[in-house]
Amino acid sequence: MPSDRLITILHALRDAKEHEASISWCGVAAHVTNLDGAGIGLFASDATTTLLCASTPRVRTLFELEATVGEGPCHSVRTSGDVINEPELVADSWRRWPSYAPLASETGAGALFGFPLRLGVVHLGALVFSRDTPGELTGDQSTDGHLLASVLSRTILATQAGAAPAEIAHELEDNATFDFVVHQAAGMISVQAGLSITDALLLVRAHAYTQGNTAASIARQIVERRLTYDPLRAQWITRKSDDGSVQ
Amino acid sequence: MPRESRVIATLVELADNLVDNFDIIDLLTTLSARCVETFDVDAAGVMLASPGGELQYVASSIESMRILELFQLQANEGPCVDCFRDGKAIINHALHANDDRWPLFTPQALAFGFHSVHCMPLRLRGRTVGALNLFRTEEGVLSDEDVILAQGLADVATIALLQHQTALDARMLNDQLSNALNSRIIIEQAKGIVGQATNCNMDEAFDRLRAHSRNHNLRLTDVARSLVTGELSPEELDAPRPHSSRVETKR
Repeated sequence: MPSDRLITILHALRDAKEHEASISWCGVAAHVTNLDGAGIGLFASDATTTLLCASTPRVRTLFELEATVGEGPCHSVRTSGDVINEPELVADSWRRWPSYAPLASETGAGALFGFPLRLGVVHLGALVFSRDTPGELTGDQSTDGHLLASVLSRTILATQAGAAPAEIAHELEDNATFDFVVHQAAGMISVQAGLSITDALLLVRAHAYTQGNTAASIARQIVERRLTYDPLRAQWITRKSDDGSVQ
Repeated sequence: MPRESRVIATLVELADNLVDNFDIIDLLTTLSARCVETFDVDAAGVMLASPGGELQYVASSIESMRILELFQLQANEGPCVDCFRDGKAIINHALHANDDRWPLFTPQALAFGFHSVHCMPLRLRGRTVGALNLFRTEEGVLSDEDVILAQGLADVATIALLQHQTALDARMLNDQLSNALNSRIIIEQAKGIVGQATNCNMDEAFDRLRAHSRNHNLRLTDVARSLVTGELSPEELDAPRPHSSRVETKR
């Protein structure tokens, strides 16, 4: 059952203007958490990070610095797969980011926090928050950071799989929690198609959208071995249940 | 083994698992399995709350699709939701077709052959972080003593979420819960890979992951992750010994 907090976040994201949805996500993230800035970096397969959005010019600069020196919150989230806390940017962060920390501090950032955008082993990117003053996140800010990371992970995946914004909003409200069968199906398709788990998950989602079906329903057919993927023909194959014949 | 010895063995086993680098999903799976062995119940499972307060399935005594679906349903309604929301145990709740307390959950549970449920909150210093759910195929009661014991086992397992902290830090607990739920997704992804590559069903796939993790003294989540990233191939997994993977203690 979606909590009140989750519903607030979903509505804020839904109300973000459609044509600039991804830009608004960062504004919503900063606003919801009451932090000074938020940015989303997407991980490409070649180890680079692409800036999806930044709520302020300073956040954009922080991401540019990170790309230049090759260290920072996105990189740390990527390598650890974990939440990154740097509540006192200069005092605490020299050891972790010897090149990045002093430069980031010069921009006026006092604390940085990174939340992984992940679905199991699928690492889509990082949601990074900055605050001008040093100090730990409050419990509520941490809760909101995790909620936003969870919602944005699924939104970004759905967007990459070709879903329309309205479909995504509906799906997020309808099913706030993860659907285990979708992840089992992604594992199976990654073996059938010889794909990474990320691409397999996208393939399953994309098939659901093109069929106008839910990902869970498509996934269930895959796990029950009624639906398979033929990578040579790039085709989905539906198997009739009892006689083994192929449709 | 006499019941008291079994309970003591379980407590020792749970405490023994609270070492550095333990795996929370593995520990909660052990808790679920021990509940079925110790109490007069037929299935057990654990749901944990996400940092935002949504309940999600993380471990159970049987990994069958039906049991998993019964837990997944409880993201929205059911004994776990009520138990988690109120922070109070639900004991000896008989399920009847005409009972409208849980209109989605009850028919599904009955269809799977369960006729009564119990649910105990997982508590950490006043904060409820999840629920332990016990199912019986027969209507019947759990004795007062059983209720205290089951709650005790749940409390011991829940302490694991605090890791090495002595105080409850909301931020650290959020990180832990988020990692636990993500671990469960990693395990599901790995189950799919093992199921497809070795042509077994999802509960057998889970048993193979767990057997391999125990035999090689590796964290369950790490074994699952290595499979998904391709560092470990499904063919390299140890075969589970028949009926052993949920019953044997570590080592």
